Parts: sequence; structure tokens; C-alpha cells
Amino acid sequence: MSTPGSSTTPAATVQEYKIRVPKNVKKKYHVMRFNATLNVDFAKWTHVKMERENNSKEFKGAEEEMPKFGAGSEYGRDMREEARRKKFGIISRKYKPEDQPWILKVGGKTGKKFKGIREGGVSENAAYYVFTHAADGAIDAYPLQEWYNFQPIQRYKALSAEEAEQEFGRRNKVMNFFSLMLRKRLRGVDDADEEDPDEKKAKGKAKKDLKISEMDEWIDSDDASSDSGAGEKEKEEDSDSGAKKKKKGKGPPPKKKRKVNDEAFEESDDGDEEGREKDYVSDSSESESDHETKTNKELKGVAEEDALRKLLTSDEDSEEEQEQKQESEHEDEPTKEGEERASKLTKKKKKTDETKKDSSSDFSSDSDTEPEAGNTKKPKKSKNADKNAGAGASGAAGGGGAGAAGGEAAAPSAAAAAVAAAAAASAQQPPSKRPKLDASYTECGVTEEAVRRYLARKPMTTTELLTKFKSKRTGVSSERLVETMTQILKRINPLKQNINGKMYLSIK
Amino acid sequence: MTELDLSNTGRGVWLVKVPKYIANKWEKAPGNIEVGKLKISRVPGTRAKVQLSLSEAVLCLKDPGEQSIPKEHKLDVSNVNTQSLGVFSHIAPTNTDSVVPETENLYMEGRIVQKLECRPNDDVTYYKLKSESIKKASMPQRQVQQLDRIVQNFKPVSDHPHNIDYQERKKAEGKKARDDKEAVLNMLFAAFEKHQYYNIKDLQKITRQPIVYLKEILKEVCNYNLRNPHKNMWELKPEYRHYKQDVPVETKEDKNSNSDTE
Repeated sequence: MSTPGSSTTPAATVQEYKIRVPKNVKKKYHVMRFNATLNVDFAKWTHVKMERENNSKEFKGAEEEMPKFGAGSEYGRDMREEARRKKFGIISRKYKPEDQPWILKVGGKTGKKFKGIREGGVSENAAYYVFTHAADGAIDAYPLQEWYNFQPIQRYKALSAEEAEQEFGRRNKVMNFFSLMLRKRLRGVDDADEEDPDEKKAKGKAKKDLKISEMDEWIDSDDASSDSGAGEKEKEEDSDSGAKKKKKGKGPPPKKKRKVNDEAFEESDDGDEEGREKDYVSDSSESESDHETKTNKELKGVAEEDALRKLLTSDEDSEEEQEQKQESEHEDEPTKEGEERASKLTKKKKKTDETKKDSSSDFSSDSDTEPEAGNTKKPKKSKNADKNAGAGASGAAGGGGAGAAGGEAAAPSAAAAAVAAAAAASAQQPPSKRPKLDASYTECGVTEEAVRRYLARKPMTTTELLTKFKSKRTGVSSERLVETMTQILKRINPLKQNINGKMYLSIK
Repeated sequence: MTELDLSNTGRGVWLVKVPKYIANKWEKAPGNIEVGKLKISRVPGTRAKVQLSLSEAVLCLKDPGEQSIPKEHKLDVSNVNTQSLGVFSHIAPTNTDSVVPETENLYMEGRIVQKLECRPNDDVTYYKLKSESIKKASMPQRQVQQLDRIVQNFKPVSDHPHNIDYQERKKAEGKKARDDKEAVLNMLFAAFEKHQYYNIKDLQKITRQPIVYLKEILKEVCNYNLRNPHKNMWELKPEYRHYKQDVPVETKEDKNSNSDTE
């Protein structure tokens, strides 16, 4: 080790190279350094361009650009500025283009971009030479001037502080984010429809299928339904957004399922999706899931409560309300519905007339339409669009006709409407429930006997009658009470007379 | 953006780290002589030994009083793994101030395949060199000196040379004579063709007219700005202007300011 190179063993092969340091070379040698993880292979480079970064604008800073000559220019401005700065002790450094970092572009426009920043301190205590073989077998040593550390320039935009904060806030919502991404991707597919129009078409078709199937359901149920129901149906048919809402309202479980399926079959063919969609339709219509039935029940409860409220509140209130509702209903309806509505109104009018003159026909006629009305509501509820709206519609279904009649004979119709509403509410009960109710309607303390007694004593409105029993009953739900009452009233078939705009029931 | 000459890209080169004292010698050495020899001795079974021995010519190349440097060095060879190192060269433009920037020629000179570090052998010459450099480094840069008399490095002068110069120049120029008004106007218009705004002092320098006379003329054809974007500057009245493009708005403002002041 310590002995100089002359003491090489004879077995060793010694190669000797002359080293020269060429002078008068204009070239300046620099090192470009890349991190190994960047996988830069110089041998693979084809079109590489390099230039110094132009930072002169940044160097000059935020100084407003003044024209150097012509309009708007000042004579000798630069000099004056310089002098002024010198007065304040600011000596501006000159911009040195040779001190700027290198910009390296590999592989044309789309290739990688690097920025080479000069490193200091590398050749402070030592000098670096690069040894290359010259043509005559000697070694040429060139001194290295600078070291440049090349780093890739990121071509994407980094998040700002606020954006980063926002994203950070989302970090725990994994599932939400997932669905969001999915939605984004779906939307992206929609946007870039050139990418795979087939898939999109399939999806659209599937959606449409779904819609149609649902509407089918309504159509056969909606034949002789009240005008409000028809109106709503029409509206939903018309507006695509309505359809979407309806789909959303279908209840979470099918929706979720659909989403998962979408995710799984995103790149599948038309046939697959169609088959699946059919599955989905049958799923919702034939075998309703637990959740759905539950929502149905809930909705019904709300509707009944609405009806009850109508019964319980004073008649004037109810009248106003109904009229309001009806008005709004009418306003909402598209004009093309006018004919249909008119026919229905006449029908209703006839009905109310009947109510007035003959009570027995009234209830029977009502009961004719009742089951249909009940059916009408059912799909609407399964659609679960809006609980209040559903309830309002159901209320208006009964009240619509009455209100229309109220236009002519304002006073009596309201009470009739209340009765009708009660009847409608009772009709809404699923058919499976009714026999049970018939059998045990006396259980809630409201007996036919008692009602008869009350009515025989003096004429009463339905509201008064209900309050009588309401005070007595124990632990009976109000809708149950209303149901029972309507049953009993139907059975008793009391005499109806209008006094001061209220319908009084009585038995002779 | 200049294309990088990639003709030498595939070439493998060595990166050699040498002590400064060798680099100094090599810098001084003329280009045509041999500055050293690289010996690679391969013994089968062991790693190749690389040695650097400087030539006599380089060793003798020294200033008087400079320490002699060791002749033999060994080179530690290591591979470059953690980085990809390349060597490129460029021919710097000779005069950077030229209006048309010269195109820089860029060459890729090769890929660094091996890194060699030059280490001196532990011998007397090296230690002498080191001790000398340490001694030099430990010497204080400034030393106290005692003076036996006052050193006066500033003497009062009655008239400074640049003042004398100025006076002479002024005298040579003579008094500013009032020129023909036409001539002055021509000068002014020529000046305002180049720039829009002028300070009166600059105009005086350009036209070489007495300031009172100049002001008289300026008041005829120019507006004086009192507000800040171009405070205390003269500009031509709108009717004399030849540039139209973005001036109108400014002109209005200027008019307003003038009417305000007058």
C-alpha cells in the first residue's frame, strides 16, 4: 500500500496512460447529477434540449413595466431610478444569465422536464476532473466547473393550503369518498361520451327501462285516481330530474346495490347491464324489501294523521286549508291536464251532490273510488318522494272534490270533505288490515251503540263526535279512532244536515 | 432552447477528485505536455490498483518558496450507484452583453461510470506540505504595526480636479444662446418622438437653450404634469402628438389636471 506504483509484482499487468490537461478549450465542463430513483438513462436520450432559465423578470421584481420608448415612456427614467436607489444605499446587482439554473427537456414536448440547480461547496476543498480517452490512447483531463443537481419539474398543480385542508378533512370519510369518486367517474364517462358511447347508451337505456317500469305500475293504478295524483305523475314523467329524485327515493338498499353493481360491471357489455336492471325492477316491485314496506307504513301513518287532523280541527280551518291545498294543486298542474281535471271535477261535483241529497249513495259511491285511491297512493309512497307532499296529496285527494264543490256551495262541502277524507284515510289501510279492524273495531271503546246514543241525543259534527270519544279512549291511536268512527258512521248511516256551514249528523 | 449534442452520450468517463495542490499545478501546466501517468495494475484475484504519478515537469513547476508536492498518489475507485451522473459541456458566449445573444453550444460529454478519489501516500513530502499549509492558515491576516510618525492620508485641496474640469468645459461651451424658435421646436419634437415625458433639465441638456427661453416654448406646445404618474414632466399637447394607440385616456386625464392647475 505504502509503496509507490513501481513495485508491481511481475504477475500483474500494468497499464499506463499519459494524462494531459488540454488548454485553450473553450468548453466548460459541468456535472449533471440525477437521483438514481429518477431512472435517468443517458443512453436512451434522443431529443434533449437545454437552456438557461430566464429569470430576468423575477429578478427585476414587481417593478411596473414601462415602455422604453414611444408613448408613455419617460426620458432617462432608468438612470434616475438607479440614482435614487443609490441614494438610499441600494446597489442593484446585475442579472447574470450564466448563473441561472438549467432547464432540461427530454423527449420533446411531452417528455420529462428537469431543472438543474447549481450546487455550491462541492469543489471548495478539492478539484474535480473528468478523464476521457483521447484518440491517441492518452487520457485527457478536463476540470469540472460546476455541479448541477437536476430535479424533475412537476407538471401538476399542487394543492393550496385551503384545498389541502379541505382534502384533509375528508380523510376519514372513506366510503363517502369512494362513492364520490365513483360518481365523478360516471360523470366523466358521461362528459367524454366519445370514449365509450356504448356503455353510456346502455346505462341510459337501463335508466329509462327502470323509469318505464315504474310508470307502468302507476299507470294501471292511476286510471281513475284523483286529479292531484295524476298531476304529480305527469309532472314526474315530464321532468327527468323528477325521475332521478324518484329513483333516489326508492329507498337506500336498492340504490346501494345498484351502485355496487355499477362499480363491478363498469366495463361490461350491454346485455349484462340490462339483465341486471330487470332484476332490480322485479326486486323493487314484486318483493318489497322490509325497509320499503316500513316506509310505506310510515307514510300511511302520516296520511292518516293528516286526515284526522282535518277531522279534529275546526271545520273552517279545514275548509281553508283544503281550499288552499286545492288551489296550489291546481296551479301546479300543467295546463294540458285541464280537460281531464274538468271531467274529474264534474264527477266530483256529482258525487258531492249525491252526498247532499242521499247519504247512503254517498258512502257507497265513495267506497267505489276508495280502493283505487288507495292504490294510487301506494306507488307514490313506494317512490317515497316527499312525505309531506304525499300526505298533502292524499289529503287533497279527498278534499279536492269537496273544495271544488265548495266553490258553489261553500258551507256544506267542507264537512263532507272531512268525512270523505276520513273515508279515504280508512281506505288507504292495506286490505290485509281491514278485516282485522272490522272484527275488533269495538276494542278502542268506540262502539256503534255509543255513537248512536250521541247522535240520537242531538245533532253533532264529526269533530264533536270524535272529541267525545277522544276524551274517553285510553291508549288508542287517533288514526285508529278515526278509522273506527268512519266504519261506524258508515254502518249507522246518519242523517246529515248543514247548519251554519257545518255538517251535523243525527239519528231520528 | 438549444439542442444538446448527444454524440458522446454513451461514452463512459471517469470522475476524478484531486487535491487542490495538484489542480493548481495542472492549471499552470501547458496543454501539450504530459502532466502525469495513470497506472492500472491488475493482479488476478484482487481489485485493480490505480495509481497516479505526476510528471517531473509538473513537479518542477512551482513558484519560489512553494513547497514541493508528493509525486505518487493512489486512486480509490468506487462505483456510482445512488446517482446518475453525466457530464455536459457548453461553450459560453464570449461577450454576454452583445445585443444578439450568441447561441450556446451544448454537448453531452458522457456518463460517469467510475469515481476515483486521489489520495496521497503518507510520505515526508506530503506531511511537509500539510504542516506548511497549516502554518500559513494559522497566521493572522492583519498584524499590528507601530508607527513613528503620523500618516496623513487626506490633504485639503483648494480646487478639485473634476471641478476644474467642469469649469473649463463650461467656459468652452460658452453661454447658452437663444436659438431660433423653429430650430428649438424641431429639437423638441425630435426628442418627444423618442419618449413621451421629459424633465425640463433633460430637455435643457438636449436643446442647450437657456431655461427661461425653453420654458416659454414648452408652454406653447407642451403640458406640464403636476400629478404623480409623471410628476414634474413635460409632455406634448395632444394636438402635437403622433402616437395614438393608448394615449387618449391619458390625454384626458392630463387635460383635467392641467385645467385644475391653471
